[in-house]
Amino acid sequence: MTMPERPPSSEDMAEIMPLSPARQALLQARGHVGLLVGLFVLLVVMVSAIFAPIVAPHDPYVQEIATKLSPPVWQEGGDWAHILGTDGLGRDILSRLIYGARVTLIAGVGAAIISGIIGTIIGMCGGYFGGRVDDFVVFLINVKLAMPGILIALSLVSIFGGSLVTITLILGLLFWDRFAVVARTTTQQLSKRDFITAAEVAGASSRWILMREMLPNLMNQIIVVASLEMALAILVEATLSFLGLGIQPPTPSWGLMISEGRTLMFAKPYLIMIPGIAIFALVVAINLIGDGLRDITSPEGKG
Amino acid sequence: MGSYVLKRMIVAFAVAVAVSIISFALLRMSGDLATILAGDGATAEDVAAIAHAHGLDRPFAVQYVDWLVNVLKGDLGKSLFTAEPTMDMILAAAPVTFQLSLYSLILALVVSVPLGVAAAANPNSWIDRFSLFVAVSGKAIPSFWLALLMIYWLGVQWRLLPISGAGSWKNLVMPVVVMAVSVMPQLMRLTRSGMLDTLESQYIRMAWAKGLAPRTVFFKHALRNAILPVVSVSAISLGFMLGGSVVVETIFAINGIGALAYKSIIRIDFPVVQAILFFLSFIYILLTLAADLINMWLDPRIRVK
Repeated sequence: MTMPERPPSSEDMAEIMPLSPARQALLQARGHVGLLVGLFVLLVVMVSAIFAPIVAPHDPYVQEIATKLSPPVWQEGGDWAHILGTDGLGRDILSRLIYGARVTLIAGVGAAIISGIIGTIIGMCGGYFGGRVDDFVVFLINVKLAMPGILIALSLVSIFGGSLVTITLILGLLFWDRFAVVARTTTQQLSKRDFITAAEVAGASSRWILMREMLPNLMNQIIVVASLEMALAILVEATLSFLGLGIQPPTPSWGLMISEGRTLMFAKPYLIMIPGIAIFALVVAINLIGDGLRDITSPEGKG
Repeated sequence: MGSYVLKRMIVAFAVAVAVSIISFALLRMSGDLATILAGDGATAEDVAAIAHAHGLDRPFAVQYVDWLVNVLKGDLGKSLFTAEPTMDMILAAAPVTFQLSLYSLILALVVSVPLGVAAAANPNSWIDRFSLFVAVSGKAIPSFWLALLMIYWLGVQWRLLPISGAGSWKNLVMPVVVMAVSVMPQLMRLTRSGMLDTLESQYIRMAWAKGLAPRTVFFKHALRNAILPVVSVSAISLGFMLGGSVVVETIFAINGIGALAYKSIIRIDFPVVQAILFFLSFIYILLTLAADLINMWLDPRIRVK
């Protein structure tokens, strides 16, 4: 694959072909291998999560002790009835993986949306109003960064209990800082632009300017941060569940599956390999999407 | 310059106070500690007695001020389970975790800074692609899973390293690698983008025009500027690893801060959890303050401002 020295900027593209920005982005997306691979993997996981009852070959909760610990189909003694094998309680691993994708995606998307809303509002206020408000916003971000996130999440889960809702809320309240940082700097830059001054002169309220003028222009950056935060939230959810302070059994969660397989991992390594690969592949895919979107929306910010 | 340092220290102090209030509030407001402590089947009187015994029935502000006064006197409270002063427990556990995090940071820097510089010096070369590959996979691999994979192959299949405990340097290899991998991608991408930006600047073109050797241009002129954000992020990474040590320490059975925090969280030993949260935030604040001062020393422009 040959790459140009620098991805073509929007000005270059406009000279070559007078297309709308959306068409340009689409054309660039089509040539971006990482983005396409990421989107494909995410799509597969999302479709199987949504249609889990149709896609999954077995009930993820049903224990068949007779066929417990049967290996995946490519290993000796494997059976097509359980393509990825069964766990220590005789539950079908593929089905648990598919239902577990629901937990993973809900926690990841939910946390990214909640933290995105909190962080964007905080950051926009700091960037737009400046002065004391901005000092306070920077202070808030510093306070947030100084707190050990994983330990706070663990403590809160141990007090509130590990349901999917509480975990998503806790993760959402923990990861807003990067949204705030990005929204703040971008808003600062936009504040000096003519269209904002024009809106101010026209007498628009601060709220109108922030929601109708600023926010649409921030969206590109926010979506990039959201994809990276979603990947992070998925990793933290898996970590919490692995440590026993996340999703509680028997609910299938990928982190929990690794934790359950740990005692048998030396004899049956596939018990930890399969869910681990699932987490790894999904997080790589989401990060590739985030990086790809950043390359397309702001070619200068690559790296 | 003096006023900058002073201002920076006042902010650091304010952040420390705010963090202590929030971590205190999170543990108190999050429902009924007394009910959880009393356990199942406790009567309302039991709960009230326990709340009273731990001072949980007093107003929040009173509890906080009381705690803060004790902290300033050097008393971080006692464990609910062992009655040991939490300060002693933390000081006993801290050295192992510090050692682990410091080694991990050194390993991460030794790998990521040269790789980042090499990637920036040869954009789109195989080494650039390789560094991108390392960054993407390092960022996506769950630490606990990497730890289990290493235990499976290095510890059990090939019998190269011990799988738990402490004592020999061999015990440190796997935990240090796992923690280093968690911070490496960011350090490497940051070195790379910092170097790329710096290499395009006027003064580097000037250095090339003067006919300086590539080595002098890269290391003496460019790296010094490119490294500034890496210093800040190193401090942040170190703070992150101290808190994130909970994963590695529980898997490899290391008795550090992370393991202590985990044990205390599981049994809701809230004075200990509280003290650890405050202690780690405090260390983080000190680390970032130190990083700012180092940057000031590296970059005279900040001093002039």
